Amino acid sequence: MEMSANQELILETNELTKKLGGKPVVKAVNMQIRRGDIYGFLGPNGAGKTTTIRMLLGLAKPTAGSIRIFGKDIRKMRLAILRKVGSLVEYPSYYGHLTATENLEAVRRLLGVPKSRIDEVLSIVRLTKEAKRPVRGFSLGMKQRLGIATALLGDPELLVLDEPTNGLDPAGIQEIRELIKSLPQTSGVTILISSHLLSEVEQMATRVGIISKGELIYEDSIHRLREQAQGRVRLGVSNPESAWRLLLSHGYPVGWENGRLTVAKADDRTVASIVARLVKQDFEVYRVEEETASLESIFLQMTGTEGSL
Amino acid sequence: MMLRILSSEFLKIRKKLIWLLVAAGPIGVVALQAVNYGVRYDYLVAGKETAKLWSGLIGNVSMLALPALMVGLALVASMTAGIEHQMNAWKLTLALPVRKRQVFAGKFLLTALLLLISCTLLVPLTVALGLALGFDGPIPYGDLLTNAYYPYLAAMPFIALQAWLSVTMANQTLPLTIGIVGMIVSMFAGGRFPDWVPYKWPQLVNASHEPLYSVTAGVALGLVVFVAGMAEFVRKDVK
Amino acid sequence: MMRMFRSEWMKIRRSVVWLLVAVSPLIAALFGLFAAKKGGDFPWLEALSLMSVLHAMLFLPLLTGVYAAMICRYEHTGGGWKAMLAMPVSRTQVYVVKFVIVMLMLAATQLLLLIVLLLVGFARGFSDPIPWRELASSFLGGWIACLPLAALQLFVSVAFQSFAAPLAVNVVLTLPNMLVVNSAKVGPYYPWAQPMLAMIPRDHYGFGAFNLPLETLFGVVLGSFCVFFVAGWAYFARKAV
Repeated sequence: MEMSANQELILETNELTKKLGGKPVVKAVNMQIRRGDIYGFLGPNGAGKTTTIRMLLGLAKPTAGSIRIFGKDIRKMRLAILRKVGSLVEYPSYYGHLTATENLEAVRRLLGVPKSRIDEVLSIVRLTKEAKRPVRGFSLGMKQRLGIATALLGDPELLVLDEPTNGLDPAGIQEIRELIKSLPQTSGVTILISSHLLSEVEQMATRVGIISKGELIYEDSIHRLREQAQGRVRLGVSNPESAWRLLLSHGYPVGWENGRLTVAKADDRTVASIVARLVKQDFEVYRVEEETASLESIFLQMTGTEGSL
Repeated sequence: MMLRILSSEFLKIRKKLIWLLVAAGPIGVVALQAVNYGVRYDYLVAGKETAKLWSGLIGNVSMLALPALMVGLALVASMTAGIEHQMNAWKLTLALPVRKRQVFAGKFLLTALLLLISCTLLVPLTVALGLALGFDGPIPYGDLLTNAYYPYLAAMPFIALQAWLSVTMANQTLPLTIGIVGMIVSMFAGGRFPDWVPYKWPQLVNASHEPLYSVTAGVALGLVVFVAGMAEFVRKDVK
Repeated sequence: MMRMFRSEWMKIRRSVVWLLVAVSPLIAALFGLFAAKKGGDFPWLEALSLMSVLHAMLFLPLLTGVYAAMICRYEHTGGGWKAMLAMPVSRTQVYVVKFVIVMLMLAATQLLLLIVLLLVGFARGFSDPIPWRELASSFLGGWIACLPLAALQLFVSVAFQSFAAPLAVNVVLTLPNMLVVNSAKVGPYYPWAQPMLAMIPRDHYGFGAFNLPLETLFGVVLGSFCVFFVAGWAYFARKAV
């Protein structure tokens, strides 16, 4: 864990548990989000993402465990915390008969922020032109953007977006993605974004947490996850067994399977020096090939949903 | 904060059918009496002294206004809560920095205020009908106001109950059925039920012939139901 | 068609529909048990009048609205109209099935009230023979008189997304019953008063608008039914979902 003083924890759960009708749907989750993170909260549908997020926002009460946001306990300081949190849970909520501006105004009156903020958030999500239309007639993508605008209204320090791209077409997904990526730079906000697709958040997330069957089974930087996904190199050589012994005796981390040599997590330098060593000792090197596992397949392996369809 | 919540609530019901209902209630009641008086003018008006005419009119309007109030409060409560249920908007409001208690109080107050508007409209409408029918002499404003507001206050337990049921249940079938049953029970509660039955209170009838007893009991029980509803709402998880 | 009925049945089976069907008969039972007189020349018909006053004047018309709103609720929430109309069924079929379901629920209500009346009669020890003819015409008549109400309520329930809005229409149209049934001039022509006029036994308890020929009654009922049903059906056929 690379934890330094300037990476202040914004959100932290401790053994967070929720039972619904006696069944645990969230089990002892310990989650940590630091200031400036874009935290991808991943898991298949029904893994407990939305339930966790509901608890983070104080919409549902944990059966056990605790939540601290901005260093404060959600049970005791709910209002103080929510004042600095913007959220979009599941699908966007809106009042269909009102226009986009009126929808934002209904929330603005509760937040007590200046009126000018409405135009600002409308322009951030590029809805300025549609502001005077009833939301009923909006496309799903526009409703989703209005939902994000609502979440941004209070100028939050933490933005919680639950499946913000759910049900959108590829163009809509791209649009929301660009929008979210641009946020931390423009407003310095920390973002928690959930999704059931790794590919959807991998391009914007800095850290990921993976939840499966209610348990947080992985939490680290996206960088580390990529490392895991990095493949190994296989070498086809003449007389592989003696080549393997030779390389081991020189301290290279090589394996031997199916008549091929394998090198896990090999950087370019290691591969080059292995090849040089083999050639020097008169082994014939037939092929050097990379075997890669995609991030998605690692994710699927972790969550045990591979082939579940 | 309560003012902010209320202003947001009023914004949300802009352009909604609720306003039509709020106006249609009292207008409908008085219009029906207008037809009644028109059809039976000779029997109801001819040859009677002014004071009797006014009190007769007020009584007739109340006779219709009571059931309209009792069922109207269920409808208004259902509509104000329905705005959130329809679009699953509870999670939006409750993830904002507002107390759940205040959100509940906001819905109750909105319902109560809309009904207050309806009851208030009864006064000028009744006066207009009386004048149109040619009643002269002093207009009994005291009686008019009493008949508009006392039943409203005595019906407070039902306003609180319906606000609670409508907010807490996504399916409005049950709250509205309870409202309809309540209206019918209250219509026939007058002579048959003992004084402690709340359904009797809006009629302001009791053994001591003191309407204020019914009003006081109504406001007191209304407060109790309101607090109970609020406590339940605060404890519940949001869907 | 049969399959659509089954699918509708699945939707309402687990709902509060049973409670709704039972509510009016139960209240009528209370009235009957406490207020029905044992003596009198026509104990059955007196009990019928007593129990059906509330039921036919207010409950029956209002319940019609609740039933109609309820069977449209599933379609309004969660985009059910889209799912339903995307299936290989015609809109007319959908509309007719919904309407028939409302009428079936009303029939169940009527039947339950009849059973309750009989039970009350036995409990109070009525010795007269049961006047089946009068009872049948009262309950069947009340049911038929609900046709136009059900048609209009289905229309508004399909049109409004909110549950309370169609009921508001219903209440606004039903409350005048309190005045209208006393009027011999207006009563016979007011559709919402028809269930009451049809259910209260004639001759014995006739007053105000209750003395009117069956022709008027059914002319008004069937006439307004046709108007409301065709209007609602035409609206639904064109409704964008």
